[in-house]
Amino acid sequence: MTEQEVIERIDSSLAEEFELDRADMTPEANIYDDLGLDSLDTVDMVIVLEGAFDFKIREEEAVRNIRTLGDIHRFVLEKVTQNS
Amino acid sequence: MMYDSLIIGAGLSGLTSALLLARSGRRVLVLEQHAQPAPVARGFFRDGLYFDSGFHYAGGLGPKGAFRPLFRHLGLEQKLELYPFAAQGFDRLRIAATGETCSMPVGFENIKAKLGDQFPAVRGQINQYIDEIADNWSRFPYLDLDSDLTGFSLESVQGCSLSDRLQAFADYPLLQSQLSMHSLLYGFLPEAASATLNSLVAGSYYHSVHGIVGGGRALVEALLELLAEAGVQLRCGAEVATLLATSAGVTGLTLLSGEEIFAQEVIATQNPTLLPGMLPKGLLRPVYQKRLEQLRQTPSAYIVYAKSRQSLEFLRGSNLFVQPKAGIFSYAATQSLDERPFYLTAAGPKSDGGIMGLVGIVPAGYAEVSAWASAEKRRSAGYRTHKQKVGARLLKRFADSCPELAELELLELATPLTLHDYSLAPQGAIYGVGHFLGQYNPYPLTRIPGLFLSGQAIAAPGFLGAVAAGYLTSGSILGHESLRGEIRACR
Repeated sequence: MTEQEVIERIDSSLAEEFELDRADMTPEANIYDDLGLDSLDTVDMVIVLEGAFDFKIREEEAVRNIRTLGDIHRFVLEKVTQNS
Repeated sequence: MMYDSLIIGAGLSGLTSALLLARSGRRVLVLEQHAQPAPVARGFFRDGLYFDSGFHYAGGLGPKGAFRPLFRHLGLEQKLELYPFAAQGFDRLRIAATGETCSMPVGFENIKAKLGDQFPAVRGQINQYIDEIADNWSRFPYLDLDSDLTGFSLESVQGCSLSDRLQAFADYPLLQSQLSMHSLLYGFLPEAASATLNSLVAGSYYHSVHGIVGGGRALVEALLELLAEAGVQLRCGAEVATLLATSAGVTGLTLLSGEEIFAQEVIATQNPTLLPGMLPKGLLRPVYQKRLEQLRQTPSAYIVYAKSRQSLEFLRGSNLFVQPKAGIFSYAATQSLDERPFYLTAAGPKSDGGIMGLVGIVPAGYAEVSAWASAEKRRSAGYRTHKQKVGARLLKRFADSCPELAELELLELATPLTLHDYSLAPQGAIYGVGHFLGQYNPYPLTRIPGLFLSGQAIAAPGFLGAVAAGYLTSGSILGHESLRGEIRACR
């Protein structure tokens, strides 16, 4: 999977599962302030990503530090690279 | 009458939540679909014997036990009389193939000594394993009153399984059996359970083990007295059909009768897989709706209630787990009744102290009885015959593995259909939604303002789990720090 494909899969999964508007989903978008998620959604975000990429997320600290959509992209890309 | 909080389900977590919210000044109404409150925990009388159906024994209530402050804070300590289980063996494990029987003593140090003597070659590893459980079992919200409560934790979801942890003892299957038998107390296999969950559940019993005089019935009656004192109202035979809610929040609920009841808070304690169907479509985000709907249920069971000719002294303060062969606890729905593990516990004593009955629990799948699921089929001769056959076969099975047993007479057999009737859990799941490895069970808080979840699926299974869930949910509403402060004062 290319980097672009990974990013597309992340964005389309999150858009569908959280009912987000793709137009708002820029890498700079803050997932809490701009996309309207809250701390309750963290687990759901983990579940969406685990489902979309068929991996397990155990990196609590990294998940806690996610602020922007770009952070999610980087986090997933790193995991995908590690796993391949 | 206007209410502040509506609680769906008068089970142990619903009653705990009701009590805590009412004491904080809320006007609380509890709605129970069954004709009586706490239908699972309250047990029943048959032929002059009392049988527990949900509650059997409690862990963690001894001196310095982490459950004790909650028990005291609720007001149960003053109302209930506890009795300790047998110190030398509160639970015993028997291997059916060989007849070997091992006793699990009460207390971490006693367990270490006992298992170390039995398996001296791995004494050091046993000590380390039991110490881990002693240190960790009460690191759970509302059992641990000092450390940070709300840390986002993936450990119990993605950690090591109990099976993996017990690989250290692969050369000692009888040891593995003893260390995995308490998976029956959360209802599913060690390969699907985190070592953390096992540590919480088994560890509470390793710490201390008590029965309640009068059993689950006495527990429920005590809770109901406390609820009445706190001004909680309770309506039985009230089945909730839908929740009234928009994205702005809940406003109440509708009963099956069509009656609407309004409040700004609803605490839903039913099996969480049932919640999406009670809410307006589109209100939950797809990810959360799927997450609730796809939560895995624990297996179901056949539960035998039988009468004995002689007092069953071997079950006094001590339960018996029977496993076909030594090794990590296992069970498959495809196994015949004669190959499955089972668990025996005493019926309530008669007035002269005699234990004249027993409860036997055997794992089972819903598919074994699903053909009779409809109300009409339930009255059919076929279902009655099936129950008689299963009951007779299980009594014979018990007798074959337990020469201590006197002649037994079958009084009742609960099937997965019966369990479903009382708990409303899909497929008669004995502990409802389980805390499986890899599964993210929901929190008390939802994104819909005023809607909260509680019950075993939220915290942990059993009496302790249901009470912890009640505290966790009430704390989410009232503020965790003030509630924890009150409990700290009860230590």
